[in-house]
Amino acid sequence: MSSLHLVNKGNQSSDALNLCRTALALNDSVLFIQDGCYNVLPGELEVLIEAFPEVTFHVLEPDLRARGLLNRRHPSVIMVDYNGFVELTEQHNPVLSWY
Amino acid sequence: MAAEDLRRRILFILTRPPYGSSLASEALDAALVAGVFDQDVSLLYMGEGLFQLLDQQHPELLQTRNHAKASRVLPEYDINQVYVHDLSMNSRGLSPADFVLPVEVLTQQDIKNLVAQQNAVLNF
Amino acid sequence: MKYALAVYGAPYASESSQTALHFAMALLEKGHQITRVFFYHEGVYTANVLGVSPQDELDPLRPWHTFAEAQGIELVVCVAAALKRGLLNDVEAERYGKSGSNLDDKFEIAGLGQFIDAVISSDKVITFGC
Repeated sequence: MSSLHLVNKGNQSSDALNLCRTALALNDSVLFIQDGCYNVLPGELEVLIEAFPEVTFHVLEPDLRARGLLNRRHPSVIMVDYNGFVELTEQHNPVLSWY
Repeated sequence: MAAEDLRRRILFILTRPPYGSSLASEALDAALVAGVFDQDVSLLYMGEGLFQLLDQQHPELLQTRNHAKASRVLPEYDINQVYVHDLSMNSRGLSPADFVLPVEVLTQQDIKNLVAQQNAVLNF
Repeated sequence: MKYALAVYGAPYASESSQTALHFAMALLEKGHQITRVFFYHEGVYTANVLGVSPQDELDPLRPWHTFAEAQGIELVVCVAAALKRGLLNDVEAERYGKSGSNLDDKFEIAGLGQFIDAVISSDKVITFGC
């Protein structure tokens, strides 16, 4: 079963995403939460998508919306609510948390 | 339930240096308790987490637990799977000789494989 | 499935406990079980009854208290992490000769064994970092 990586910091303010990348494997999923939402700006996420074409990137919608990023997100990122967050945890194990 | 069912593979990923916050210390305590519970515990040091293992730590003025000395008891709790990320080590000009515990150096791919084998991962 | 949750972040310093609570609620709505929620590191501050939050903002503690009461969820605060940060229940306050206690009564105070026990007896372990 593939892993789920929760990332709660932006790339510019923390090494969380960088460390996550080391452990990120084929077919894993990433869910950006809290300040991790800043990683789904088009320029930021494009870099990740190119490096990890087999990984699915998600973002927690309420956190994205709070930050005024609804219309500033990369078109490929999948928005999920908390129900979707739960579903992601059902489909993956282990669940890692990069902060 | 067979005894094996109660033995989970638990990986602690340690990314913070010691002393600047209590996270490193609290992570170590949790790992030791997992050892007491006879779990299949692994520790992976990445990023600044590697500094937790540096020898020659002298925190006397901080009047706090010597983290390197505390880390040295891991084998007494049957925790011998201690790994460091190669890039994190090399980029800081460190080598296994700098550490207070015997470590196995892992590549990025090794790390991905290690994570995939776990029942639970606890990032600190 | 059975989930173990861990919260490491303090209110206001982090969104850790809010995200964890919303997640916990969604878990139950989907029919999952929560083995235990373990508050460690700065997460212990969530249990502080003395907090006075601004009127127009969400109280960090009250929703947890209500949730635990309504759903019978076990909330545990790590004793070592709590004591050193000044989160004490009546027993600990008495034991250490402190002038007051401030731990919400829906939170139990216990050792790391409760955390590892939850990890061992759950299908999933989700940690909410700081």
